[in-house]
Amino acid sequence: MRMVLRRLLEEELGLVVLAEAETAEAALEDLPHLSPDLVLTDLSLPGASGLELVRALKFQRPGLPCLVVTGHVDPSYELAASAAGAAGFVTKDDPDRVLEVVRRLLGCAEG
Amino acid sequence: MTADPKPGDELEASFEQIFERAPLGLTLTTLEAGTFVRVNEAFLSLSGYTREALLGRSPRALGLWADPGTYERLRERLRRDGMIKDFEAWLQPKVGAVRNVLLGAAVVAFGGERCVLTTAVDLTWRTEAERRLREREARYRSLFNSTDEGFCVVEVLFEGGAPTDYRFLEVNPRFEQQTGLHGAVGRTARELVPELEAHWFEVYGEIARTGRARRFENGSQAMGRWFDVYAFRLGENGAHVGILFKDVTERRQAEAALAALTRELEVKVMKRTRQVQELAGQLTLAEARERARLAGVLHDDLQQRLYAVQFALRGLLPHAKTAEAQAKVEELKGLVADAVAVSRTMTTHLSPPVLRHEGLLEALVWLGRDMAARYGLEVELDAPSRVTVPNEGVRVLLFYLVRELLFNVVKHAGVDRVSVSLRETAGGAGDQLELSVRDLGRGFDPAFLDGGAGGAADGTTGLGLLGVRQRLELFGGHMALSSAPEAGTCVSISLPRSALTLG
Repeated sequence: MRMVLRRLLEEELGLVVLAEAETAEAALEDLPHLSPDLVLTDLSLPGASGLELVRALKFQRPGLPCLVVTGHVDPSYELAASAAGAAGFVTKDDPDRVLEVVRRLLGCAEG
Repeated sequence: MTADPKPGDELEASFEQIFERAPLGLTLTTLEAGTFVRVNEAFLSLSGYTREALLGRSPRALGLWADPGTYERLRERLRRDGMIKDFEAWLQPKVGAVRNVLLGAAVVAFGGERCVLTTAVDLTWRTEAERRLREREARYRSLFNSTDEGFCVVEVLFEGGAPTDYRFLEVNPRFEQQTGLHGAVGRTARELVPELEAHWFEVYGEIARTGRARRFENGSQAMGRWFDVYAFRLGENGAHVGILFKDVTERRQAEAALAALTRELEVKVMKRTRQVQELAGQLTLAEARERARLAGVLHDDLQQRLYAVQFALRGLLPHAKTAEAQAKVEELKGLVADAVAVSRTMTTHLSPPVLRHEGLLEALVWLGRDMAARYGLEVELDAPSRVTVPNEGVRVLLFYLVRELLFNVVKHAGVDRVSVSLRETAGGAGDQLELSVRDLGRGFDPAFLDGGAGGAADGTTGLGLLGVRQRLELFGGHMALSSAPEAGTCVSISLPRSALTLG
C-alpha cells in the first residue's frame, strides 16, 4: 500500500518522499533528521496508533501538517483525528481525493 | 223387678274390670289341672291366642313355654313358697318370635277352687335394648382397643381458673406406643413429662371450658414427638376431655427432609442455571470475538490490498495511452471499488466497531444510522439517557437481536420507519430490561419466530433470529410477538436484570 501511494505521489504530483516508516515509533525517530512539508499516516499501525503519532507530531512540530489516510470510514474516526490535530482525513478508497487533499495541504504549507 | 246390687257384687265387678284392663298379662289357672280359667286382654295380646283357644286348656298342652321345664319349675316353686316373684321365662306366642317375660304367681281361691293367679310382664323390648346397648358398647370398646390411633380420656386440672395439668383417666392399648408413656392411668401429664409445654394444658383447658372440639397438629419438644390431635369435651359440663391422636413425627421428619432436599435441589438448579447462563454469555462473547477477528482480517489485510490496487490503478491511468486502455482501467477501478464496498459492509456486519468499545445505547444509535444509510430504514430510538448492561455477552446478544429484528423489518414489513424502545423496569426481583421493535408494516406469520427464518439481508449475521432467541432464553429472557396482516408487528423482549450483571 505504502509503495503504491509513494509511487502515485511521486509520479502524479512530482513530490519527493523523504522517508517511509513501518511504525509511529520509527517515524518519530526519523523525524529529527528530516524536514518534511507533510506527513501522511494510517490510523491502524502496529504499536502506537496513527492518532498518537498525530498528537506527538503536533507537539514536536506544531507547524507540520499531518494527513490521516485510512480505511476506517466511520465518522467518529474523523472526529478523533481532527481532535488529535490532524490537518486532514481521507479514506483510502478514493485515490483522487487523496491526491487532491495532499495538493491542497502542500499549497497551504507552501503559502 | 230388679234386685238391688249387693256390695259384694260391686266389688266383684270392680275386680273383674281391674283384671281385664290391667296393662300386664294376667291369667288364672287351676292348681290341680293347670288349665286356664280366666285370661285378660293383655295376656291375649302377649300370647297371640284367642280367649276361646286358651280357656280350659293348659299352657303345657298349648306349648306356651318355650322351655319345656318351665311348667315344672313354676309348680315346684309354688308348692314350696306359695308364691313366685321375678321368674324369667320364655313365652312362645301363637305366631312370631319367642318373648321374654317376667312372671309372678300366687295361689288364690276362686270359685271355691284353688287357683294360680299369674302375672306376665313383657321384657322383650328391654332385653332387646340391653342387647343393643351391649353390642354398641362392645363395638366402641373394640374400636377403642383396636384403633391405630391413640385414645385417652383426661381430666383437666385447673388452678385459680387456669389449666395447669391433666390427669389420665383411661387410655387405649395404642396409647403407650403413640406416646412412649407407660402406666399413665391415674397419673398427670406433668408427673409423666415434667417439661411438657404449657400449650397442651391450655388447649385442653379451653376445650373443657368451651365444649368446642378442636383438631390440630402440634409438637412437643419435651416428648420429642409431633401429634395430630382431635380433642373434644366428654359430657355437658366438667373437665373431662377425650383425645384421639396419632404420632406423626415420622411424617413431619419426612416432610422436613423433603423440604430440605427441595431447597438443596433448588440451589443446585440455580447454580446450574447460572453456569448455563455464564456459558451462554461466554459463547456469545467468543463468537463476537471470532467475528471481530474475521473483521480485523478483512479490514487490515484484504481491504488494504484492495486499496493498494485502487492506488495502483490510479497510477496506471496516465500510462493508458488509448481510450480503450483508459476505459479498461476505469472498469477495473469500478470492480475494485465494488469489492471494497462489499468488504466494508462485511466488516461492519461481522463486528460493529462501536459494539466493542461502547455501551448498548451507543451501539443501537450506531445501528440506527447504519440501517438508515444502508437500507433507508429510519430507526426511532426511544430509550433512557443511560442503560447499563455490564455483561458484554448479553450486550452483544441484545445488539444482534435488535439488528436481526430490524433486518426482518427491511425484508418483510415494507415500511421505511421502525421504532425501537428500551426500558428498565425497577422493583425488587422483578427488575428487568424491556426492549421492543415495532413497525406499522404488512405484518407476518408469527411462525417465523420458531422456524429457521432470519438472517441479514446480505446473509452475514451469523446466529440468525432463532439462534439469538434461543440464546436469550438461556439468560432467562423472553420474546413475544404480536403481528397481524396490515396492522404491523411488535416484538417484545424482556430480560431479567440479574442476567445483565452476570459474570
